Amino acid sequence: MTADRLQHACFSGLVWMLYVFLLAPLVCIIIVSFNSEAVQSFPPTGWSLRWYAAALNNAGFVKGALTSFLLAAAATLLATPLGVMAAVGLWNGRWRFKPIIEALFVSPIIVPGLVSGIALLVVLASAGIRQAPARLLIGHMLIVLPYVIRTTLASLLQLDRSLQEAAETLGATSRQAFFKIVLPLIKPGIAAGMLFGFILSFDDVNVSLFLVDARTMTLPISVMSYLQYSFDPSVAAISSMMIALTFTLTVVLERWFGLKRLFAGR
Amino acid sequence: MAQVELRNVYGHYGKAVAVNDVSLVIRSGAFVTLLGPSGCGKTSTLRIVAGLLPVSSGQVEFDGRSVNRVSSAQRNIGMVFQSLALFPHMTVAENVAFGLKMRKVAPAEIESRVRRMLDIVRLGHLADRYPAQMSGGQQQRVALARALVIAPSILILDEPFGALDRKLREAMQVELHSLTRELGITALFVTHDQDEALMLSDAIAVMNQGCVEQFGPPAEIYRAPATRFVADFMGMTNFLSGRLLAADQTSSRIDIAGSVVSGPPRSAAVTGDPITLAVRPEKVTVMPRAASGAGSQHAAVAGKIRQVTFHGESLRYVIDLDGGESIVAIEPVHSRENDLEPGTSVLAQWRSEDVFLFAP
Repeated sequence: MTADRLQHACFSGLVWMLYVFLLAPLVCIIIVSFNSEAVQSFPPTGWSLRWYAAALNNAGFVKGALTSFLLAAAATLLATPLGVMAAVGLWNGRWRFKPIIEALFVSPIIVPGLVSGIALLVVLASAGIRQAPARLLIGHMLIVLPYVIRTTLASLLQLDRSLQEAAETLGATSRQAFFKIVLPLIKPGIAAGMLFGFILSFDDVNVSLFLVDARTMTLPISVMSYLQYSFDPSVAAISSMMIALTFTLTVVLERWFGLKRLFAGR
Repeated sequence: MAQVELRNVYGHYGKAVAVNDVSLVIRSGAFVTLLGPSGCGKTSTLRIVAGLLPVSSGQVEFDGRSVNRVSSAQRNIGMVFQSLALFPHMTVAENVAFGLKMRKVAPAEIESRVRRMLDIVRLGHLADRYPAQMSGGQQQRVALARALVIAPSILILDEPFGALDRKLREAMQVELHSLTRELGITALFVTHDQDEALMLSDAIAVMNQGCVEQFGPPAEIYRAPATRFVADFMGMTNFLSGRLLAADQTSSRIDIAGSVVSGPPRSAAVTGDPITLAVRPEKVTVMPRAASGAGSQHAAVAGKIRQVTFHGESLRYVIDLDGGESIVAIEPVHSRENDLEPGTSVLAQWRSEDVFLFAP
């Protein structure tokens, strides 16, 4: 009894330590962003919102944020149908090299982003695609795609295959069975993949590093180049805003799809 | 309702033969069951009728027209899946309406037909629930309603009661029986439970290794199993190996480990052939060996009781025969004054008309 309780206490202690380890830096950044000093000191000596104002008045940051947002949105929206189609193909397919194809689809996660970035730069240049927006869009679709495929495939594998067959015996074409039965049921998985993909695209540095140019700059890269010359808390303010965005997106989607799933059962 | 006929149908999963030369006629309005152990090809046969598994060779006909190339969506079938496969994101009414929507029936008609069907399965008051909010029995009835509302040519059921507990299962069996008879539905049912098959069916096809071993009315399957496999599956669990001593038009004589017993006539048998004798445990009576002077017109084999178990209404004896085999006897509890103990020397007896003979 007491041994059990001790074990339980140790375990929850470990979990809390992990939380602290993971979240403490984020909390620090958020606290520092409200600093009134011109240096990133911790703990802050005074409080102010001046670094938020500074960040939002920095044209580079604002333009970068807009670029990053549009880029992440476009890459997610374009990669999602492709990823869903790929996942459905993998789910239905019964060919011999399926594991290899599956591994190939997730390889962008495994290959270091810098390598993907350089490889894309070389390949796209030789294909005549030299504009940064096009290069970035292709690169970021590669970031999003594996996540959409993985999460969609995961929800497909949980799906009872006889649901599709049931729809077909009731007179649905395979397309109707997909859009009316399969798609609504795997929507949470697709949404999770889109969320992951969007967030990772939004704060990607590695792949983008070689694909940006002076006129098209993503937010993480403009933050990085800003840091090379100045170390004021406006970077902390930008970071805090990015944390807030990610957090809000996660909560909203979890609420929406989590609640919906509960409502419909399963 | 349609008559469904399978003629010399073969089906494959990859390279494995799942259905091996099956021929069946399901008459219009009849309830036919495919019965067999798992892996016997019953579900594959059902999937072939449903159009979910392609026919490798042979013919599947609905009312005389071949449907080999007709997709399951076009066959007008109502299917109840083993997992039920209710659409979890739709309400009960939406589930039931799905087939009608796919058929582009007018919305007003859909509504009235769905309501009528839900009333038939006594779920009218739960039309707006989601499947996850219902009990197992209610979900069964939704699946049944969804399959029946489209007025299918044939209702196909793939072990729909497998997941239910015994009580609910029996209730659903009764319900399905009355529903199919009232509506005159042609039905093809799959199960591995012989009691379920006997109770529900107009005809049973007992399947083994992709083949139909016997196809006939339940009483015939039960009383006159055509093969050893069918006998075994129908609860005729005593199999004794012996040698055929003589056979003519009226009877036969078999040697079981030194005891001579009589059995039914057997043509096309050669005297001296090894043969398997089968008898139901309920048909075997046990007599203490000392008191067995008068049993001369019955077959009798000597042995010793190994085990006695009590089953409420009946006692079950396991008897080791002198020849080395064993036999099970089930007797009503009050059939004798004092119980027989393990170790008692007994004679196991049965009437020769209760005996079946099979190739060894």
